Amino acid sequence: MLRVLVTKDIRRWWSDRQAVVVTLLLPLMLTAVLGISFGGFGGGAPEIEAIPLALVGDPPSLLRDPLDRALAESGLFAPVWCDSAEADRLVRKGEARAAVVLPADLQDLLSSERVAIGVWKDPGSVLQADIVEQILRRGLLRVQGGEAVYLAAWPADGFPSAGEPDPFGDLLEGDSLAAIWRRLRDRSPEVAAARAKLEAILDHQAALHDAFETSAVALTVVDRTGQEAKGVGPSTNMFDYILPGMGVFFLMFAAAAAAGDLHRERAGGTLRRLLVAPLGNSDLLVGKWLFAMLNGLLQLAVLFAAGKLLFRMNLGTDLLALPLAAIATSAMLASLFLPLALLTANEKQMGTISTGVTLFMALVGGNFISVDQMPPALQAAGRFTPNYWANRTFSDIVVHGRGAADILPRVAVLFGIAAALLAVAVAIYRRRGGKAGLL
Amino acid sequence: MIRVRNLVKSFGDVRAVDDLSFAVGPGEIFGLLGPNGAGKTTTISVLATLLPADAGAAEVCGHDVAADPGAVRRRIGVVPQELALYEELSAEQNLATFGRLYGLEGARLKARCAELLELADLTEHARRPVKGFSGGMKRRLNIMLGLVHAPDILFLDEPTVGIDAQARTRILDLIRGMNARGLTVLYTTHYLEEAEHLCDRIGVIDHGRLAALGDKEELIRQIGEHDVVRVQLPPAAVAPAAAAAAAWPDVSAADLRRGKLEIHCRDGAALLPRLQAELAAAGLSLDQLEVIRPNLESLYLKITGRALRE
Repeated sequence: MLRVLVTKDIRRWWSDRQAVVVTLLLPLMLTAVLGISFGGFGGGAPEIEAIPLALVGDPPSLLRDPLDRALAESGLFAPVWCDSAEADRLVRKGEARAAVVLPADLQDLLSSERVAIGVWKDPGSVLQADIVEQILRRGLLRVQGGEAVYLAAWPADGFPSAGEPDPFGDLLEGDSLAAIWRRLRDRSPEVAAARAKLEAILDHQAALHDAFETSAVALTVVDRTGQEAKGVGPSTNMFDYILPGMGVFFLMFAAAAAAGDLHRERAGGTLRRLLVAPLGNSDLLVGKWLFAMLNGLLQLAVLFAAGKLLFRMNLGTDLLALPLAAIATSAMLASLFLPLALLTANEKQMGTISTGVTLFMALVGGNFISVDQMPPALQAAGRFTPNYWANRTFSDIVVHGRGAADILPRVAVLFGIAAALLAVAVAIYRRRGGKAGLL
Repeated sequence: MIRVRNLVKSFGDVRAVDDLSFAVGPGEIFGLLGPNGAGKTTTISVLATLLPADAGAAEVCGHDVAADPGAVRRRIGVVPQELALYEELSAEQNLATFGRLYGLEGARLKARCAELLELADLTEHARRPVKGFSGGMKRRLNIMLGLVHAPDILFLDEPTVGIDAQARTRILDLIRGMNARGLTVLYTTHYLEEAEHLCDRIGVIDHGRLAALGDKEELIRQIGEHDVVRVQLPPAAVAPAAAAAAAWPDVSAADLRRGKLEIHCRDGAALLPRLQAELAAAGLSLDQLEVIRPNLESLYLKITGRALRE
């Protein structure tokens, strides 16, 4: 039955040229205009000028060298090392889009839950400053991820703690490497224990070095030829930032239109005919939901495919991630307006309210402006909008290069919202007398 | 096939169906005749399991509409009052969609669609979008959609509203043809001539109540309605003529109305020879004469006190 209902709606949609244009072409055209306005038309090479970036701190060469190298090679940033006063001045005058203040103590970077890196943003260059922040967050996650791996492999008991007697005694004393080497080859149990301790410390140092090498280099997100660097890094293509948000925004309109089809069917008399057919109690609602979901999925697929082909946007490296997010988002948005369709009297009323709701949620949920750029109160409110979770999920994939496993929690949230809203719709439907309530 | 007992359905303070009872036999065309708002559509909605009744009981094909709505739905076809078509789809796609909802598939579905398109004279237009159809074509397809699963009973809710006389005749012929194949029809209308010429029995419904029930002759007998012989006479002659006619056998009343003599009798035609003879004997000439047979219009006027098309 559901198959018949959905096929019918797909056929009707496809026969309505206006609906096809509004669903597929209009979002693409408007997104293209926006993207091009931001200078993001895909010619292969990044079209963003290097972002002036102030760096504050005095990290050890172990971190500073690869960081400098990565920033220089990326072509994305124009970094300058300076003290905090100068960095403040540069950012306030707009000469640097952001300043990154590195922690004085390197150990804080690795072990503290509150990362002591500061990012000072130029409010006049929100987007570029946001790029800096996002890249830093990603780098930090890698550093912290590397540290977690290290701690799992080499527990902290390898370290001599403060006040502990020197386990090596005079093992490392001596005036030549040859003398130390000879003592290390001693087969006695005392020396063997000290040697094991030493090996653990050396392993720790090596792991630490590896962690910094791999994490800091991750800042090399885009190279000069526009090819993605090893791993996935933030892209400089403006469509990466604009298209997912706009896609979700237009999808909300499509979902409202799909849910509002209940009103169109009622006005056209076909609803009465459907209601006397031997359908299951909630088949009509679930059928509309399925159609809205498939319709949304198609819209997102066309939008992302066009984004890739026309605008060279980044779709991530995990082939599963984007489809998974698209399915979850479509399912969630398909549910979003079903309760409203059941509570409104006619299509006009539904259209007015759903447009208002869509615009409000798009503003608060970060479809136009990143939620991170909003005041704290609005940021908190944004998390209560369903589209916020969709925007974040796409952003994770497209901008931050996260894979399917990384986005699973957000996908679970989206499916959870979808299920909850669908349950609300079914409850309203039943409370209003089922089929009789639809007439 | 249909049994309705003391059915009641209210919307707020308005009692749309008020203690309604009737039965429809197999192969019958039963008409529910009444003005707009009389409760016809509400009655069909309850019988079609779309609305729950507040009181009373209704059975369709032996199934209680409240207790076993699924079984009822499989046995009935409904043609709503308004056109209920997917205008973007073709006639064939409309039929196939509803056919599939009733479990028809493959060759069976295809054959059924072809049969109905032929029956509705729409075969040539089968693949055209419905939005390009004329009103009559849409109405015919609207009826076919109710028949796609070969129901035992068809509920037709004013299926000829808003179409021209030619299209209406065609639809009525279509219904007669389907009825001849054994289909039971419950037909609501506010067109007297449709009810009079199409239906085997008629229930006159007003304010949700059944005011009269039977075939045309039974209805007329029920209200004791007579022929009316209306005669144009010189004004001075009308009153004496009325007094004389009132005494004739088989005349129930004779009076003056709008300047004319009106004689109410069992058989107007049989009265004419005597009338002519009496007038000639009185030296009066007969300027104008008409015999008005009782019909549903007069029946309805008598029952409800208002014209049906009000």
